[in-house]
Amino acid sequence: MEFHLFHLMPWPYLPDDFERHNPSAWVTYSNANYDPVKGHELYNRYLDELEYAEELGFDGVCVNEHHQTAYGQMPAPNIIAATLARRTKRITIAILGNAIPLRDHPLRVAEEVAMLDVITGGRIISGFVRGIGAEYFAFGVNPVDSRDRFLEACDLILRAWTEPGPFTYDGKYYQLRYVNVWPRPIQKPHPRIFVPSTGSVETIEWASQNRYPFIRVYEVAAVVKQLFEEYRAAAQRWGYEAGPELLGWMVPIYVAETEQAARAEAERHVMYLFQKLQHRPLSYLSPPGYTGEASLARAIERMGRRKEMPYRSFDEMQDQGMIIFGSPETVRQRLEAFQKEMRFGILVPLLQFGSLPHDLTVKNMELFAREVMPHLRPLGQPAAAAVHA
Amino acid sequence: MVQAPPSEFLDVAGVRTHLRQRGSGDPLLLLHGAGGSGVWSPYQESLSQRFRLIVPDHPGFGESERPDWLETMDDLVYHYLDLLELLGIPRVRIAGSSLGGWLAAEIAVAHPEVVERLALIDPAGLKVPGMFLPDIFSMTEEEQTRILFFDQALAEQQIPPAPTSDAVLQRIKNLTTVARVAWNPYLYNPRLQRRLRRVKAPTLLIWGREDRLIPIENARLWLDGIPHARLVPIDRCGHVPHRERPDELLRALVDFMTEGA
Repeated sequence: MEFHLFHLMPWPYLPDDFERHNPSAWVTYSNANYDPVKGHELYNRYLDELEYAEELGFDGVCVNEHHQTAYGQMPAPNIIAATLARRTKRITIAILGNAIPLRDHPLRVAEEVAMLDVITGGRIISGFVRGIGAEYFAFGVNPVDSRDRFLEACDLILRAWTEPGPFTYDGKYYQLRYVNVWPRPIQKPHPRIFVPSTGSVETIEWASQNRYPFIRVYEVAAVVKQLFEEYRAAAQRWGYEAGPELLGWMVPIYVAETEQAARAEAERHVMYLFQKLQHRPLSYLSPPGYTGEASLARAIERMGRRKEMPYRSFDEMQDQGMIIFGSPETVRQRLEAFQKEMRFGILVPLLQFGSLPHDLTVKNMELFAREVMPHLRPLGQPAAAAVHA
Repeated sequence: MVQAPPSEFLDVAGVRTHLRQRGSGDPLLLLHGAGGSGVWSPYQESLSQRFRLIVPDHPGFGESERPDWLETMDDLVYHYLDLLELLGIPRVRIAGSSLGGWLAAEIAVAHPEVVERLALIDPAGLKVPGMFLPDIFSMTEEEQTRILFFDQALAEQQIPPAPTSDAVLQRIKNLTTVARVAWNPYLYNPRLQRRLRRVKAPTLLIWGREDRLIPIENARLWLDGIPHARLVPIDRCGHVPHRERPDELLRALVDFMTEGA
């Protein structure tokens, strides 16, 4: 099992009654509420947490990209990756980001990620994402073009990393006479790719075709299991067996001395994530054209005709495996059981979430690293012949 | 309740296009707005008693297919030129609402000789500098419906308590095509304003005085741009006169379309 510590760098200062008085923590919540002095402290605190992951034995850390939101303070994930590049020596840095359809030019992404890869001596994992629907409101980019721009930008970046330049590129969105990116990445054939996604039909198809690891962000375990099965089934259609090394699960985890302590210490902080930071109208999740036709019917079926996101209590989230809270023993047992059932080989624990303060984050990271991680290590080993795509 | 004319499906240069027609006499092409052509209404029935009324679904709306190449308003203009050729109609009266009004104006600019008379009903297509129209894409279905009407009691009646999955998919299909042609720039073409001088047809603007989606302040841009245009405002009416004040709309439209005939 690989362990990649995830961080969202949330804004933890939303008022208690935030969701009652604001339609959204995304796009429209005024940045007049952002305090750069507090922001300065936060960035440095959060970076300390990410850097500490190396000392604790994690395989990697993950940085993230969202725009115009209290949800996360990393609109430019490559900048965060750059600050980590020379403060860490061993761990991988996964950029989840980059939201390539939002970029004016994919070659800029190719350049930045190649720079980071060379600087770190090959410790970069390059995520490619579309960003969530809200991003398309924030940037005015047409969501109808999102998937096609994503696929074309991906294609261009990978070719820029792997084919000797200069060469021409004649796409629908990008026409270039000279593609000749300096520097080229140090990893061969290119940095490892992660595809973090909500798991649309189209994305699973594409990721499995290219053997890119698919990382599902928090969702009830039964749905994650279903998506992993879809990935494996798609892989079979492409003519291979998808091993655990291609499947990743991002889940908020909190470990404390006892069950009771876990809940007492961190319940309100994780509810802050789900109730405040994820507070937004449905239209921000799926603007027209953002969701492919194959996924739409399924989404409508799954969502029913609800007008809002479903509310889940702490207990429901615990029961459904949307979060994993408990003593080291129970967290181990639950993760082992989920692993057995879902057969993933990449765990992406979110150990700081919502308003969880620094001391509890550090305690959580330490308990997880010492009491949970070593026990899970042997699980989900890659199939013998598997190589990183 | 009037019986709708039967659905017809035409192959318009490879695009399967749904339309309904009824009536005889001078052809009148009715171009729908972002919400689609809707159900056949008494308003449409009345128009069909005076004209050969042609009510198509634009490509990507209703029951018409959405071709992959459809990306801009321009693509719709050429689709309609093809459609008119296919129907053997060299010259036509056009009435367009909202997005359909914008489309009608684009047709009249590109091919002024095709348009006999032009009626634009609360049209999208232009931008008052500095004015951002409300963003329908960020609204719930209920908000989208409410903003169309002046009379909120009437709006209330239009909000389906539990739409079917098909209705939800249909609505998303329509909205997706709107996004395709009008996400950004939002509901306008920056080039259209200076091209309006090319409109040759007598033009009538009809506007709900209480339109909150595309406020009547926009009418000034059209009146300034189109050589032979005049404005008929409709009181106590929002963005969709055909749903809120069909009788007033009908009167204004029929008077205008039969003038000089």
